[in-house]
Amino acid sequence: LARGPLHSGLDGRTGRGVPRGESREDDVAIEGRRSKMADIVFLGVTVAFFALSWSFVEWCERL
Amino acid sequence: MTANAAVQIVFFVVVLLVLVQPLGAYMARVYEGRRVALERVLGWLERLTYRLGGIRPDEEMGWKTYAVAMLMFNVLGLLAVYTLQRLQGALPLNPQAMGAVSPHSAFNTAVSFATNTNWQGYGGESTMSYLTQTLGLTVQNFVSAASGMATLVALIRGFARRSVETIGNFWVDLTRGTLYILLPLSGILALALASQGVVQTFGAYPTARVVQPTRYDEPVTDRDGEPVLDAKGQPATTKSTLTEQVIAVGPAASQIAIKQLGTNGGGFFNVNSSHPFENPTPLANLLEVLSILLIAAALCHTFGVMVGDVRQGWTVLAAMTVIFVALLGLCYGAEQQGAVFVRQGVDHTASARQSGGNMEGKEVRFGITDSAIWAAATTAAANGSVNSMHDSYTPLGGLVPMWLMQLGEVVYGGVGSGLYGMLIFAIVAVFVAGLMVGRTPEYLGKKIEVYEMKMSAMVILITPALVLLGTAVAVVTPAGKAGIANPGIHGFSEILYAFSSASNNNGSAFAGLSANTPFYDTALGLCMLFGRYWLAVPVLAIAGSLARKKIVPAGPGTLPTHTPLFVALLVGVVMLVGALTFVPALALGPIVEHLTLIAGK
Repeated sequence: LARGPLHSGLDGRTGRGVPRGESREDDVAIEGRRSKMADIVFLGVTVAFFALSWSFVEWCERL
Repeated sequence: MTANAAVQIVFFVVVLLVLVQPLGAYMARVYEGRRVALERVLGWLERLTYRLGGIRPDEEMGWKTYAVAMLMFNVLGLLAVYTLQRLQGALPLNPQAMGAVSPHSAFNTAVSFATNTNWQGYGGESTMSYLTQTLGLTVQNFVSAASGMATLVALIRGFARRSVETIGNFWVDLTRGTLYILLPLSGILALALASQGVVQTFGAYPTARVVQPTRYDEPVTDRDGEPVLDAKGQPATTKSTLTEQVIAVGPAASQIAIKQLGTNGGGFFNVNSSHPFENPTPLANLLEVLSILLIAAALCHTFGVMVGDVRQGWTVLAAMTVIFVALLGLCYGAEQQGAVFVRQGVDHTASARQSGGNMEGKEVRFGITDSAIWAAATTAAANGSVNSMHDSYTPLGGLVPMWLMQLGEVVYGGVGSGLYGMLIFAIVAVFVAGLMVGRTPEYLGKKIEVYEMKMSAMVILITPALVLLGTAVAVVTPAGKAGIANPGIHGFSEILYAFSSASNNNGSAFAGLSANTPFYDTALGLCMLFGRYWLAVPVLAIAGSLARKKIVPAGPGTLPTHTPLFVALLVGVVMLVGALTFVPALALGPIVEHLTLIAGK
């Protein structure tokens, strides 16, 4: 079941997507930097989880 | 129970059970590598897949290789879906010009679809481009389901084989399961749903002129999107008139077919199958709810065929069905006849003038019976799609879906994952029986020893730990409490439901919880990851261990595992483990809420 707000990312009247940060250039730059950092964090979490899972496989064999 | 409800429930269960044998036997043929008719049509695609992937289909894997292949395949899928969401604004098939999905939401969604959970913190029609929906989410619907089925088949081979080191080839099981089971079934179902009026288009959202223009107060915002306040410090508004409505459409039928069959559950539309474009007719509703349980139930027969004793499969299926029907009856009864209504002086009786019971959050088209069947089916299987809002159920009615998930998603469960979870409970059941009456702990001729019990304990304990620890963290941290829409008892239930759903890879939501936040997206994402893969790995370890063992001939000390007694024992173990683990938490949520309402507070 989806639980997000119905209107996130959409202009309520036109139904078109709202480009992020188009109002101010510095907002765009800050948002861009934050997004890049967040991308690195989440990709890092994913890779770390699967590396940990690899160790879990080894541990299960030794147990 | 009304006659209408009884007829519908009995009809649903009978049709499901009738379909189990033919589909289960067919799936056994697919996984045993026997020739199936569809190979004439799709055999070239199977061979091409092997050639492109450098796969040697006759090369068998040990359990570790099988587990690593499964993990690697899933991490690549996860990363692909994440990337697709982040880049969707610059990619084609995006007529609504959807922007990039936020990193935390993209992480949550990618994990959610790779793990077959399909929890959605976003509204599909307002967030995802058609390319993301089809190439990212729908593809994951297929392969995450096939991945779960492959893990199950490896475990079944562990029981069926003797004195060998290998449990099959993950790539072959994945490919054959996708091509010969999921693809044809979802094709048939998609066509059937489209015939009922489920939308299927890549066109842009049309705009319709509303029949009755509506005047409303529109909030005034500044150039940064912040609310503008008036002289009294209240948010300023301006009078607007609504004359047009944008109607969300898209390639829904194809996604709904596989999301139901693969027990995925990610709805194309935000409200899932309450939406008339996703579930337009009574027949569409029946087909969708049947397809939720179809493969998971039929795999029990596949299990019986592959271990050479179909009675074993029917025994497990009987245990699942007993629990399902009992809890469905409780859910229906709570919604139709809840004591809560009597106490509050509400006339809740069904009559010619009203359907009676609790209709809040339910579609009038479906009523209480079809809503309760769906609620029980979607949480018994690890599906998660809904046709009514579980948050609006009576406390006991809402307890049922929550508890069905907390039992470990083994009552039919997810495709593959449900049955391998139930087989772990079967291992525990024979072990408990062995302790109680001095029987030799054997299952299907394989001795259950220390290693199998250690792995089984891990499978059974990991998910409750995730649910209870996750809920505990959420209710004591500001970030967790910030998402609660209904403070108090019900808010606790909302959080408990969310962590139960994510950790058991169900994906349904109690609603009322604002879960699309960095805290919930990350915490629930981690629960989904551990809840999926840290159960699959010990299951494969058990498969490897069992495959190495010899078959022990049944003797006078062997507990028969195809009898009604074993059904009762299995049901007892599942219910007791579920009850003992979660009753304290349930007592703080739905049970105390029920008692509060009974007391008229």
